[in-house]
Amino acid sequence: MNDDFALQVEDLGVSLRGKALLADLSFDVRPGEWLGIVGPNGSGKSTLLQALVGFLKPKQGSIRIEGQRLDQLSALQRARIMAYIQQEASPMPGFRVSSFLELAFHPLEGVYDQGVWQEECAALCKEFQLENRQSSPLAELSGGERQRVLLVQSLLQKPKILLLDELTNHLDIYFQLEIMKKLQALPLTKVTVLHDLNLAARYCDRILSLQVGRNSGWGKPSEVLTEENLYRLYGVHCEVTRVGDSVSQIRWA
Amino acid sequence: MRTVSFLWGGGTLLLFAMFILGLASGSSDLRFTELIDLLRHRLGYGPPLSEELLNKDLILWSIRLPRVLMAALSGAGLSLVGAAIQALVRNPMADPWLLGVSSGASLGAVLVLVSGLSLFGGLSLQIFAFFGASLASGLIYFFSRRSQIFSSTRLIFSGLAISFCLEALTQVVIFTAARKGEVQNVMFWTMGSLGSVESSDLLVPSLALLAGFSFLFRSRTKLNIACLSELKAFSLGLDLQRFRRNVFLVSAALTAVLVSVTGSIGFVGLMVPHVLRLLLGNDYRLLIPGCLLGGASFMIAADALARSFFSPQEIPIGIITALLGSPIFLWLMRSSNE
Repeated sequence: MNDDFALQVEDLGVSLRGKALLADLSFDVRPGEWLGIVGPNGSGKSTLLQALVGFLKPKQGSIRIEGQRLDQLSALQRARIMAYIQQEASPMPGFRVSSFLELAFHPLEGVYDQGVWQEECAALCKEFQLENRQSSPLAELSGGERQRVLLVQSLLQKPKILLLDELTNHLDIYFQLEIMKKLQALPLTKVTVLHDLNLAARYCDRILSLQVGRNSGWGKPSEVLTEENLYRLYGVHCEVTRVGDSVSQIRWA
Repeated sequence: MRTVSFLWGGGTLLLFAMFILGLASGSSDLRFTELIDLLRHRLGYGPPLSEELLNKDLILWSIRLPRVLMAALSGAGLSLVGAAIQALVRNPMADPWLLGVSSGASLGAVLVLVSGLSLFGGLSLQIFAFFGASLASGLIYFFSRRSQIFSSTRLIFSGLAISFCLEALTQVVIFTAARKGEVQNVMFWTMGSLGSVESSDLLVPSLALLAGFSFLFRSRTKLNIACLSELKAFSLGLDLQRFRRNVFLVSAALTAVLVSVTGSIGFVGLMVPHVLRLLLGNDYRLLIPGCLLGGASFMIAADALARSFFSPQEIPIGIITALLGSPIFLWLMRSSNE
């Protein structure tokens, strides 16, 4: 056990109906660090995030957050440490933006000042250009606006760790870069599933690449995003341009 | 939140208006001024009552008031349960019928009516109805769980299967009944009726509604969260399994108490929450108070119509709730943007 890690995963295995989805995964994330998870479709990226948030129970191994075993924390305790945004925008039936955002206060009830929280909510809405959308039904938002609402909601949970599953999916390039820059400025531990390897190379401190539920590379972007590893992962040749110790561009052949 | 205050204020006014309408309607019409006179007399500072008003005084306090109160309790309770079950299974088309309570209660009550059982004296019917309701929802709860996990899909299917099965059993009991004279009573009961409500029937439903409403009102944010995906609800810190089990148990108990007094009144638990969704949106912070006041108002109005349409004859309230509710429901659905 080590309290210096925000997240510590040891020998993790997850199965569903007898089928192994993740096996022998070990890695850790330090406080404030940004871990990007990459890999082809079906490699277990979303499954890993669902296990990290505690939704899927490990068949073997352990997950610790801030030194505590995840399975020994209640749902509320977990929600006070971690916020999660899932890949497919969850069904958001008939809520207005403001009502939906207010759900983030649920885990904070009794432990956080509601007045302060509301001020922070207004500030975040302004920062993410949602201040005029507060009374709009969620169904009327564009894909990009919906993603921003989801991000603002998860930040309003006041988490220390942010787990994001392909948040930039529905965003145009302007908002993709905007959100990545904003995430980078946040003093939070971040674990994000990313399909865009150039974004992963540019913003993540470390990368975990998955192949059929197993670790196929873990380290700095320059160590994981290599031509050989990417060919092994995706079956496509690419050219990786490096500047010093970092990856500046990945071009697919 | 200003909307909530408006909702409480407007809803209370509506309920008050329906309450007056409910007290005034029926085979013996009461004018508003007569109602005031009778109220003043009851409070001890009105003029002496004429013989006609003395009769109306008896009707008002012994028959009509308990009936209107029971209509309010049952309308509010069934609407609240409907809204809660819709969050439980994340489907706006769910209603209290899915809990099996109505069909279970019907079977219990029909057994008493047809066999003439008097194990618990005058309360036999209510007690057997309650047992039937509890047994049915217990069975559905049992079949909805698998490996300690409470599944909403399983709830829908086991609710359907067990409700159909119990309704079929009820029909078997009716068709093989020796006491054919009771069939009319049975039919009336299975369609719901407030005709035999007395003051002594009100205490248990009032307490059940108070407890059910308090639980759901305190859980209004959790009900909102329960409407999201399981994963999202989980990440917002809601233990969905436990919450669903609690909502199920509270809803089944409240419905069982109500149905054991009034019989099975259909459509209210589906229609009132849905109409309120169209008017107020899906936010349970508005829906819960809305169902309390709107459900009570709607049921009082439906009961007033049930008594007045073919006065002095009375028609089962379930027929009125369906006849009155369906057009409003369809009209609102058509004019809604969603």
